[in-house]
Amino acid sequence: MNAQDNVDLLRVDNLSVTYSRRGSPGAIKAVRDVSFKVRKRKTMGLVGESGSGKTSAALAVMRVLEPASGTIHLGDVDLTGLAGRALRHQRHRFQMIFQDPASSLNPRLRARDILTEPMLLCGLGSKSQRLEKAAELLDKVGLPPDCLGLYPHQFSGGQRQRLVIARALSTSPELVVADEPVSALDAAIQAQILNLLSDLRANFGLTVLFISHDLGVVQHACHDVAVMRRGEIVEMASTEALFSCPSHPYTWALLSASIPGGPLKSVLKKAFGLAPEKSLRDKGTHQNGAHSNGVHYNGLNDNGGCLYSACPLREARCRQESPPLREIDPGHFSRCHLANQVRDLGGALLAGASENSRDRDQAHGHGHSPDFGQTFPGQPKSPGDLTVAA
Amino acid sequence: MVLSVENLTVVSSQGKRTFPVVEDLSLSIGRGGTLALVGESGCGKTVSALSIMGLLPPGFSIASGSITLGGEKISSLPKSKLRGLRGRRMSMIFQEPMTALNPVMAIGKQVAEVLKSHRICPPGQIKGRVVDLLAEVGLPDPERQYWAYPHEFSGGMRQRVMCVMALAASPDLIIADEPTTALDATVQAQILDLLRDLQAKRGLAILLITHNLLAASLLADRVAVLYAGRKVEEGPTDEVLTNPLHPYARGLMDSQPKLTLGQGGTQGMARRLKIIAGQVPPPSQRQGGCHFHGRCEASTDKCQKEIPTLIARSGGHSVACFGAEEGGKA
Repeated sequence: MNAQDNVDLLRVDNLSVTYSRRGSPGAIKAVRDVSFKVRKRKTMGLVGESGSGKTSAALAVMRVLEPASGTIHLGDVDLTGLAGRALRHQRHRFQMIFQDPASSLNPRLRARDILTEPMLLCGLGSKSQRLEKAAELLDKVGLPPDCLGLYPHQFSGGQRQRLVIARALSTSPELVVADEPVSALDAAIQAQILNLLSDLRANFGLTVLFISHDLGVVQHACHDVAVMRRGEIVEMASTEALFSCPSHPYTWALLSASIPGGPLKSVLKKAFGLAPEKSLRDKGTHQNGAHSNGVHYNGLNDNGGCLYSACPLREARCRQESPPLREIDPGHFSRCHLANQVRDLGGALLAGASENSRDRDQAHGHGHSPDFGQTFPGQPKSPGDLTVAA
Repeated sequence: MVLSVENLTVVSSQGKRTFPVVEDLSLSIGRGGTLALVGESGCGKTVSALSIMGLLPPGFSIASGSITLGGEKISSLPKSKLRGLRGRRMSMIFQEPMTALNPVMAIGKQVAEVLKSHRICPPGQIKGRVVDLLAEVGLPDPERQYWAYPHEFSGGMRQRVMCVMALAASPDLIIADEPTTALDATVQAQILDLLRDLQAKRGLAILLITHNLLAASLLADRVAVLYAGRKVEEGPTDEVLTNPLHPYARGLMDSQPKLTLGQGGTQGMARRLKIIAGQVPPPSQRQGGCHFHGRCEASTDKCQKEIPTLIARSGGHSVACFGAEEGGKA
């Protein structure tokens, strides 16, 4: 078991994905030289804002997008070298769960056909075996057995996502790529789907590439995390390491956007930024072939420096030298010249804030203080915490 | 009070039968205040908002209760009068800016329409005023953005345009219906910051409708939890979010994956999230008693028969639950 646990099922090396646009010089580099591994039976999270290239990377892994360069290995098989029939032959091994169940289910197919179609296309089983499998899958994802004859619109949002998950599992894949599987769902349904994914991962021995912009969800769901920005991985580590000592200023900025107002938030915001006006201006507008919010990096203004130009800690070196993704602790990678300082600064702020809130809790007689850091979401400690310094 | 809703009941009619969608709802928001209305979909959040705006879809109607905006009772006004109020006195920011904006009309023109229809300023000054407004919500290069089309904008920028349109005629009340649901965490934080800035500058009252508790905590000073058309809990934001009294509110808070900074977070789905079993009963299947009793772990016979009323607790916190009444927490 142990030996098996440490095998990488998916290995992505130096992956780049580019989009070329007519009438614009050069291509948009959506994914830039990204490498990561997903351990067998584990969940790897790709997190970032929209436009960071996380979905492009996932689609390249699914071989829906043609990578510009790089290789993708699933087990021993190099998926990038495959095409046509040979690729289809591998398809059953990796499947995808989409974000919006309403738009990823064919409205004119019944649940039965939705679930059996992938098996049919991959040439798996006989007709009766496929139907049997479909019924079994319904049970596995917690849908009533009598809904095989229903159309997608007859299901609720949460049920539809269960159907999408069942469809992804129909070919008994080893790897499942889940692209924002819970973002389109209601708060209470989110929890149900996350629990379901967790059960399925354990029961089927699945390996999951989990894409999300929600740090709370990623922390809950993933064993390892890679933070992406402008097509690059800026930080990558085990979930535990990443959330206990983030070592890239952008990771801190993301974190500060994901916690409720409070002293900690204002401190983090001040130290690590994501000031709205600045980042908007920095992102520019829809000129020069960039995505409208400009997050997609188009490679035209590449002057060799760090791409995180909104970084509040930016110094001369960052403008000239592009930081490499380097290992600052075993298994913990950061693309920042100042990674160690960032980690120490963040840690100190965090410790300071938790000290403060503990003091105040004692003063207020609140019996609700966690040991360290704070647990979120939506749990400000006192009314005063809600006002964030503007 | 800018807005006060009293004992509002909204019904939906299907054929000859009518079902209450919102029952006996009372809310109030003062100048500069923000109330968040939270709950799952199907709880009546949006219907409540639409009834305030006078935009209820066909088949829905206000059965009883009153809505007062700045001292004027608006729930019984004729449509033509209401139209004059919308935009000028109250306005709404919708969830999905892409569908709320006209895709074939320049951004500036769409904002100008608001100023024109309410005759806010003389025709010659409209363009300048729009450009000022675009600048106010932090859109870079507003002169050029005037002629941009919605598809050229990112989600966050579109939502800023929605904010401009809602604010153009300087209303007293803004209803923001899931304004950040379609957005990333960082952009959500920016939009909520923007709303808070605008609120501080103009003394707006905001009704925030959301199922996202983080969004509620970032913007609201009070939170009301809605379940199956009834308000089950209301109180100051931090009170409700840290110390929810109603079992539904507690379930909602517990079902969120918690972001933990520093050591001690769990990962790899090691910990199961608590879930509230079942679903919100649709209006046609709601029975007597507390609507939550079918999903509540602590439900008793009393809960099936009687409707719990909202009881005020300390600190402006109120809850409608028999269990919470008797022993502190159910």
